[in-house]
This record gives sequence, structure tokens and C-alpha cells, in this order.
Amino acid sequence: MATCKHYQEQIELDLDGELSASLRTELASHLAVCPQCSEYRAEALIFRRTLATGLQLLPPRDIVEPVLAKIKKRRAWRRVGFTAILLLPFLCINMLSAQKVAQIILSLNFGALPTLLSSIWRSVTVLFRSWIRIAEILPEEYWLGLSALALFNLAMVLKLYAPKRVRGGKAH
Amino acid sequence: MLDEQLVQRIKAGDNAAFTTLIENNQGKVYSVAYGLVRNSEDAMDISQETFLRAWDKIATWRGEASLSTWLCRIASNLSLDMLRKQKRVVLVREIVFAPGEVQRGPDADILSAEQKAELENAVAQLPEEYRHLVILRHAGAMSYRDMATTLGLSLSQVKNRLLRARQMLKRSLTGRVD
Repeated sequence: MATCKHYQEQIELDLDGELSASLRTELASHLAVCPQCSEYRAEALIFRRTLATGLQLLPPRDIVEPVLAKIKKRRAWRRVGFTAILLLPFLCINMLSAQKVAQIILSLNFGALPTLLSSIWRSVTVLFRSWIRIAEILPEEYWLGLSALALFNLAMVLKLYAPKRVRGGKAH
Repeated sequence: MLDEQLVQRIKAGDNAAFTTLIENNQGKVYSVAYGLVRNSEDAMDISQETFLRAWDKIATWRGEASLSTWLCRIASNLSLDMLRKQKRVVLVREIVFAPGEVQRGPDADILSAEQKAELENAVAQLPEEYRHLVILRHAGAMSYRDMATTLGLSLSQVKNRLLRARQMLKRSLTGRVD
């Protein structure tokens, strides 16, 4: 036959919500006839309340604002990374377009004027749309850096595809 | 609001829902972190990191445990990681809080200041593995299974150690807690 010590262990499990339904029924039957275990249960309940209230604390400072600020920052950085990945193909297209434009200008083939205009238009619109998209999603502080990156990119493209000059100032 | 609804709104990018999640659980998360690392600043850092992890991993929440249990599990893992890294030895005298360092929860006024201090001292003097269990169970309301997973124990070890921890606490507080 189970002793009171056994039932008192079961009381602890029950109060922790870890006792099976069948054992709870058995425990309830025992508690109905055992004043000592009933008293143990009442004391255990008070002890738990004491522990719960004594160990529950409030943070000394606000947590919400710093966490939301960090999340905003993380979101912004993820967007920068995501946008950079998205922009890579566009930059490639820009460079290819610029290459084509440079070739056409160098050949001075006016018969290819529609192709030339089409290339320029495509290049400009792709670039414009990309940067509009970035403007929508990026916070202001990243704008300076990205603008500098864009200018650098433009300068590199211009330098790469500018007509090479020989001494005397004549282009190839 | 139900946990599922809250998670759906957070997944949809609703900042107000995430704020609700923090406000509802910050006390519990901080209590678990503070109970384990015993340092207010570290506990604040862990609490913030817990919610950042939650924001990152909210898609992985499957509803097997409540959100608050899930958050407490993250907080306790972060706290235990910090303890492992620091290999901090907590001296008993550090447990007696400086006045104003710790704010109690809304129900804490049920206990007198003397009782609170005695309870803190009694918990602090428990062996570490017992103290962790008491904090996770009574500050974090974690289940035996969650505690077993977090602390790398078996269910019967959790049951026996928690029982023993409470017996030690009762002995230590005999005549002090009504």
C-alpha cells in the first residue's frame, strides 16, 4: 500500500501539472481521507505562490524600445544586402549597355541610332527603377553610402568605356 | 489574443503584435535570465537578445509549447551559454541585491521585504543544478520536459532534483514563510 510520502511526491507532481489523469484520481481519493496529506497540499500551494511571487521580477529598464530599434536596424541591413544582390544583375546590364553605347559611339554608325537610343533608354530606366526601389525601402542613413557607391559605379563605367586617347589628343 | 494569432500577425510584419509579445513576456524572460545569471545588466542583455532571436525565429514556432515557454527556453539557453562562457562563480553575498537594483513583479508585495530577502538567499544557497531548476520552474513556469531538454537531464532527474530542491528551500525557510 502506498505511503503518505509517496502521495506527497505525487502532490508535488500534480501541482507542477505533471501527474497523469489516472494518478490524479487516485491522489484525490487519498486526499479525501488523509488530513495530513491535505494539509501538505495546502502548504505546498502556499509555498509555490511564495516562490512564484518572490522570483518574478520586472526588468529595471524598458525592453521594448531597444529591441524594436535593433530590429529596425537588422531589417535595414537585410534590405541593403538583399538590394545589393538584386542590383548585381542590373549593374551587369548597365555595364553591358554602356559597353554597347561606347562601341556605337566609337563606330559613329548613325544607322544604328535606334539601337543606340534603345540601349540608353533601357540602361537609364533600369538604373532609375532600381534606385527608386532602394529609396523606398532604405532608411536615410544608408543613402549617403549607396549614393557614393552609385557614383563610384558610374565613374568606373565611364572610365572603363571612355575612348582611349593617345598623345596628341586623338581618340582610337 | 491567442498565441497563434499573435504569431500570424508578427509573421505578417506587425510591429504592434511584436510589442505585445514583449510586453506580455518581458517579466518572465527577465526573471529567468536574472535568476540564472544573477546580474541585472547581463539579464537585460539576455532579455533583449531573447526577443531578437524570437523575431528571427518566429517562423519556427510550431505551437507545441506556449509562446511564453518558448521564450523562457530561449532565455534559459542564452543564460546558460553565458554562464558556461564566463564560468562565473556567484558568491552568496552577490545575491543580496543592492537596493533599487531589482524591481519585483506586481504580486510581489504579498511578501514582506524580509521574506523576499530570505527567499533570495535561500535560493542562492542551493547547489547550482537545483537553483536552475527552481528558477526555470517557478520563474519561467517551464514543464519538466522543457527543463530536461534545456539542462540536459532526464525527466526523472528533473523530478527528483526539483523535489529535493524544494525540500531544501522549505527547510531553509522554515518558520519564515507562512
